[in-house]
Amino acid sequence: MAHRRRLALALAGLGCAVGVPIAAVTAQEHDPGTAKGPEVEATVGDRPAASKQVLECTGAQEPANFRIYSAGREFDGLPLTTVIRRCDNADPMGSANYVSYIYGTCTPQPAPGKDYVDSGCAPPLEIQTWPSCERTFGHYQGSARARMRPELRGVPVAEVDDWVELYTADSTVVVFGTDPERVERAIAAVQPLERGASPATFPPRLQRATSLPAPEPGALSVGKECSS
Amino acid sequence: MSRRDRVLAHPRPLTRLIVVLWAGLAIFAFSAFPWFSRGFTANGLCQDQNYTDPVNLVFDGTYGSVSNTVRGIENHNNWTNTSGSSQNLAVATNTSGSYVCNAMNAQRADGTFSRFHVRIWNIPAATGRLVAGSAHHEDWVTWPPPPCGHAVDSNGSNGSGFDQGRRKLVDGWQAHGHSANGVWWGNTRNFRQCDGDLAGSDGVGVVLNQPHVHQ
Repeated sequence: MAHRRRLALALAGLGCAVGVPIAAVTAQEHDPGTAKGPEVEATVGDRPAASKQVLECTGAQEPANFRIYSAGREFDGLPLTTVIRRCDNADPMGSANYVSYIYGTCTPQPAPGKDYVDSGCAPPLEIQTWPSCERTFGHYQGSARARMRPELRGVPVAEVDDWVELYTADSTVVVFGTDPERVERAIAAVQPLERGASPATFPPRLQRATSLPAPEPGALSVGKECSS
Repeated sequence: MSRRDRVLAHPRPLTRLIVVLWAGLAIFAFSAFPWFSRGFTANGLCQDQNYTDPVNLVFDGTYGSVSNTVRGIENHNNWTNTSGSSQNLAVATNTSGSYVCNAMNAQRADGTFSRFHVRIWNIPAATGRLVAGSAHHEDWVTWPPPPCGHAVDSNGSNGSGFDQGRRKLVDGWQAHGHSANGVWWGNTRNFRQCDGDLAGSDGVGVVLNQPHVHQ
């Protein structure tokens, strides 16, 4: 991404230098006639088609093979700033597969006593959706740091460390945030994307439902087989 | 059907025993979810709004002290550079859920600019048996000026800079005979870097066994 952005800046700079407008190509998507859309970051690896442990990767511009959840084009006054489609190459020592909607932004600050930045910062709100066969409550087996809470919107909800997970249909929705009350509001507000909608579509095409579909049989346990 | 598939489809008694033992080990590994610290390091107070990096390693064993871990990183990874800023981590002071926000105890890297880098923390509750770590690969980004500084590599098909840093460190220790177990920790939040990119962990922490003294 940084390379694409730097290339875009370089092209734009070259365009200014020679007096010729050059359209800087970035990964941003735009909603014609309305506000600028979010940045879309997609990294899609190779996965074996026949695997039962992981789903095949889908791209940001095509419908995912599990249900995706979002809080819309803005939430709590925070605009949708970035959509991430991350699907890593299969690897026994770690392999993420999710769609993430990030609301608001933050600016990394220089470390104390330094004139340069030495760490990142946490955006105000992030909503990740994983396929439940790759991430579910069962993965936290026995940990006191992962606790089931009373059901919300008809589905199981867990508090894990500093985040909240919601288990619905074939998906696990994970909400991270800098404000615990906003995280709770987000859990109450997330909606599934319409069938056939791609994660990068802006604004997100959402269904409207107060209750959510119950998790598929076995979806809270480790070992549920993945199927596209 | 491959031989491995055939063996798993029709397991012999010995194979069944191995599978059961393996499953037991896997459950043991999963139950090692990080009670010893929170899932993220922080700039300043150990609170959500200050989180900056995922914890993705723990050095576990009879000789799991900070000093022995540092010697291990220097010996097995040849990461000897000590530059970088400090970060904090909420670490366990006992096994019943009390935490204190402590500054890192040490850091090591394989260079000054674009580099592999790890920060480590002693776990008071474990009395010299556990050290938590946050490893990553970061680029030194100077353009556009002024120089922004260190930015962890963004998410890629082989993971983010956090995952690559963990993998690199683990590879070095495994090459010197240390066992490593992947554990699901779930700390997959993304962090904005100074070059505008986002990077997050794949959610797996690695438990590295440390059963001997590093000279």
